Amino acid sequence: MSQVYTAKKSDKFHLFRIFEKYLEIFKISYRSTFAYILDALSNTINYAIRLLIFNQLYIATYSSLSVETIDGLKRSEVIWMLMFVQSFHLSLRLLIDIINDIKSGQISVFLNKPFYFPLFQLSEFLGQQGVKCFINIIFGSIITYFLVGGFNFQITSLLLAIPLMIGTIILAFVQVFTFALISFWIEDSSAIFRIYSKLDMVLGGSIFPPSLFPGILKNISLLLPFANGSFVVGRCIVAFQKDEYTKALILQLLWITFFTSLIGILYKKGVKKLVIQGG
Amino acid sequence: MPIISVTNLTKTFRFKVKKEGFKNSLKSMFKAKFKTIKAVDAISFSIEKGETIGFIGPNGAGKSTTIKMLTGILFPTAGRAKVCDLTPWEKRQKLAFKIGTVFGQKPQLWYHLPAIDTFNLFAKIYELDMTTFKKRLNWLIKQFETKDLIHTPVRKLSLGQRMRCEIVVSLIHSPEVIFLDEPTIGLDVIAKQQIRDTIKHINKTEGTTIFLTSHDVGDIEKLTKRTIIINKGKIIFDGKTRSLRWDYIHSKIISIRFKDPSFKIPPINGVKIIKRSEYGLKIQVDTSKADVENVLKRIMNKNKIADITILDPPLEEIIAKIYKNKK
Repeated sequence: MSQVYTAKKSDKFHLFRIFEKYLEIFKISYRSTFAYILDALSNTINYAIRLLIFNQLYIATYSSLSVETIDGLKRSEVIWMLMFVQSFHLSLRLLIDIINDIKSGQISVFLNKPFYFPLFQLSEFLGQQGVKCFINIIFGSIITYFLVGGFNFQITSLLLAIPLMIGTIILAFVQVFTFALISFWIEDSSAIFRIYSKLDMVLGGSIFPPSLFPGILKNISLLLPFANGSFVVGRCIVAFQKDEYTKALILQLLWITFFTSLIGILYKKGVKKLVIQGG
Repeated sequence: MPIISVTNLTKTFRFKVKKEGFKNSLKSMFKAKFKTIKAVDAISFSIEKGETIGFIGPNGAGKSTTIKMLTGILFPTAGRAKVCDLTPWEKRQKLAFKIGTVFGQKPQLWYHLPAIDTFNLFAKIYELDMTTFKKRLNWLIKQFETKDLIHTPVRKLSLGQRMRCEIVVSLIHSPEVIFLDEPTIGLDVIAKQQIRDTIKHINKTEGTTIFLTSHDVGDIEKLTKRTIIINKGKIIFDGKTRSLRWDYIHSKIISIRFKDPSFKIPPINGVKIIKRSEYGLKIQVDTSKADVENVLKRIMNKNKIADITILDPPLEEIIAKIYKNKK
């Protein structure tokens, strides 16, 4: 019995089949992440500790300044915002995995399959990261509620934040993947990415909201990709402003387009330079 | 028309050469020296549909690099190749529908999930019609006896069980050619036999072309009709696997069991004693210098014989000689 289904571009379901294959990669990826749900949950302990530290830090900041609000935000709102920012916090895992795949030659099992490797990685990343963000937000919300109480939550803000959340994960992916592709040329690109991720930590709002930066630093940092990721999600849910929201959507789209174009060029050139020796 | 045709295919790799010591490391940062290695050196061959090919060679000979070029993973430095009428590195995704690959050291099953999840994923990746896929999967599960394995997380399977599932997943889309890169590496005798039998069966029933690399001569002898030997990037033998023995055997191994422990062996030109025990003797006869019949006659004239076995030297030895260019 040898029946080969030959995919035809003229097939009216062709696009649907292509969509289906990436959806299946997304599904298998989150199932694989759920296989180690305890590991994912154990990360929340680390996450809870960070929130405790931030809370103490901001108690000290607000009391030393003797103010109720900074940039229109109460302390509880800053902590809630930081919780959302931290929920999207990325580990270097994806980058290291791709670098290892390129260096060890494991990439070969992906390259000879009928899919576009960067899209395969994106689908896998969305599956993994989606699950992790979801767990982080659930647990983060519980921890933050016990730490600082609630905030003026609006369901509309949450719904409006969904495109920004998806954009944030995609923007994170395209940045990480760009650095991973540099491995086609240099031995270990994670060192360069570490510097980049420190910039992300400072300018991306993981510790201090960039909207609180002084003057020109604030204006510049709000245009960079770092501040147009998880920070704008937090800002949208906690302190929604229409102008900021529209600007964030446009900037996210621009940065995603920029990095995607870079990926297209790097991948096309890099794959020709691939060196795999041995079985 | 051949299903695989290769003309002057060449692949070179360029490496940075660093001498030992801190001073030299520093020097190489400013003035790097490079070394170019020809992993595959202008090889040419063609394979007809349904053939079973053993592609063998020592470590670093260029086997895997060749497979990776034929499957579109690596771009060649020079030369041409067609697989299923497509240039692999130009039409990689299109070719993927027509070929299957098993890299013994590079798994494609999702490690933390049961194999059935990867099978279902591959059905979507290869854009298979679900009815065809289910029929195909049931047939493969039966052939590879994997019914009891597919619902167990891959990490909990033995190496042999995992490899059977790896082969199932690579055959799910009914490829015309399957590239097997050391599929039996690390397996025990029974697992190896099971895999060999099933690959043979697939070749017979479906006419799938088999392109196999292995360090295990047993795989080559039992599975392939034609062998290509590659060494230092060049093809040094391309012919029938069976003829490897006929063309390259210039000696015989004779094991003799004597009735009397005080047996005597006269010195004979071209005869080398390999092992001697109380009643037994194992000798190697160089057939270009001595005739087997005469050797036996001379030994039998002086001793009483209980049993005699005449064997060809193992294929490993023949191949090792070819590697060393000692025909």
